[in-house]
Amino acid sequence: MLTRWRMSCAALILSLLACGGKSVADQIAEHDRVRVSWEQTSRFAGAEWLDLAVPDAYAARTLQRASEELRSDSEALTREQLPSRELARLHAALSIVRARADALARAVRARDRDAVIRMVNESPRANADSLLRQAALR
Amino acid sequence: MKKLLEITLGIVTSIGGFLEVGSLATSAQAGAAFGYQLLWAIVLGTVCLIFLVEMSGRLAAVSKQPLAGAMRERFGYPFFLIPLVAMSLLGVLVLASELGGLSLALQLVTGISFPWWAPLGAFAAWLLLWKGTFSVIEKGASLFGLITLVFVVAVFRLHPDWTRAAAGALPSMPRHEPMRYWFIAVSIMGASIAPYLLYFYSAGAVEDKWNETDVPVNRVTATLGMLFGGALSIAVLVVAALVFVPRGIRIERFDQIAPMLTPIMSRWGFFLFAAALGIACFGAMLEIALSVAYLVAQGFGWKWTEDARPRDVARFSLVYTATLIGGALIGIVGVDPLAITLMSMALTSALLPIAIVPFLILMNDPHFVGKHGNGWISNTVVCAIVALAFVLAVVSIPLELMGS
Repeated sequence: MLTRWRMSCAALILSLLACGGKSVADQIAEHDRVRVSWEQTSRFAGAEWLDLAVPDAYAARTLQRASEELRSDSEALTREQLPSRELARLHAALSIVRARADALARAVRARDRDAVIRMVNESPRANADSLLRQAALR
Repeated sequence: MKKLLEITLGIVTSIGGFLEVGSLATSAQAGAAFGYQLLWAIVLGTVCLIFLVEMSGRLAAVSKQPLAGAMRERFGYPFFLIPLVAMSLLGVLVLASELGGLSLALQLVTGISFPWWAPLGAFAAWLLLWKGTFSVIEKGASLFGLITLVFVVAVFRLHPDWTRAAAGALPSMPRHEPMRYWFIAVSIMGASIAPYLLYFYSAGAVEDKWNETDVPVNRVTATLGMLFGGALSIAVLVVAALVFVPRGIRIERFDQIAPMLTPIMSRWGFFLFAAALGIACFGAMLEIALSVAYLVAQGFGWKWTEDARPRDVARFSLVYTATLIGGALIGIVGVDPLAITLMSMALTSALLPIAIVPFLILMNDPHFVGKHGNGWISNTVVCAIVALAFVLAVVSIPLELMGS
């Protein structure tokens, strides 16, 4: 009984330890996830601001935060050993999303609703169906 | 009739006082990253908490002693110092995360940056502890805390697929990001099985002068109160899953959680979220500061009661003052509240054996609990869940630190 308990514990620990090392694919997926998450956070903040569901200060602060997080992810990217093609793709994608968040933040601060409507409509929507299926919510 | 009223009030205060920054943040993060897949961690944590809270009330009712005092008497000073130091330091850290949650709620409403609110929040909590009585603090904070029921309303308005949600109550392996999955699972369990709650509950039972006739009332109150409280955490996870997953948003910062109710309740949702977060965190701050003071004062055999004037229980008052100052200092530095919350909850899981194992020994000692000792079911369930939380914490915390 005790041996089986010890073996179960050992198996759990080993499987957790195995999660520790990140492959190149994992690293790339992680950067993609961060970028998409902050891109969609910016879009959500902008859309909710347009619906008057969030205060101006909150929307502006969140958009600024998105920009800062994207910049820090971009900096983290430079310290990682990734294939140069992937590195270039990730940097380019991050800078586009960051520029969009900065522009959205400026438009919110200036209370330029037309600009915010245009930018929210231009920024890509997340694929809700696929995300819901992936998380087994649908 | 009086007992029924007592039970109702006990359940209502348990529900109102259940959610705090840890359970809110970990549930929201779990829902956003893994859908319903981590519901099992809330279920396990809540089951364990039901047993532990019932035990701490039973110990106080039968032995007329609070948990800390009984531990010191049973194990002596040298051993008691270990849980005393560990739980006090953890208390300051958890208090800092609650203060961070309160400050963020105020930032959401006012737009003024959160570190500015940390000293004011700590001062307000200190003033209430200094001037208030136990009953006012316990019942007042919990009744205001009923605002957190807004998450249950949101769940019903979102019409989740209940079958899929129920499937999440069974433990399963992660489909992606395994390291993050286990770390959040550990944090959820740490947020649910908060040891400070046990010191607070048992001291409260002594303050309210419970005796053996209160054992059945305690059983019903603890079970239903914590059960409904756990349902609140589940509601947060479900709302986060249905709002954030389809948008592809992962919760990395607290700011991202704030609009979780706006798709359902528009602008009201934003302010209701801020109010729920602020009130829940403020209530938890009061409970944690008092719990640390109870732990230290009962452990050293000092005079303790929240109902006396501070000058009559000077050392007890000094401890909660110092705890609040410690939490405020961490808050002023401006450490990211979500990071400190997740880490303090995971550390709670890692330290659970220090708090829970001596407690279980007490609950099986006839000298303290007479014929009201634990049965094998409660011993087994608590041991298994605490062991699981400990193993997961010891492995996932270093991995998470390395990963970040």
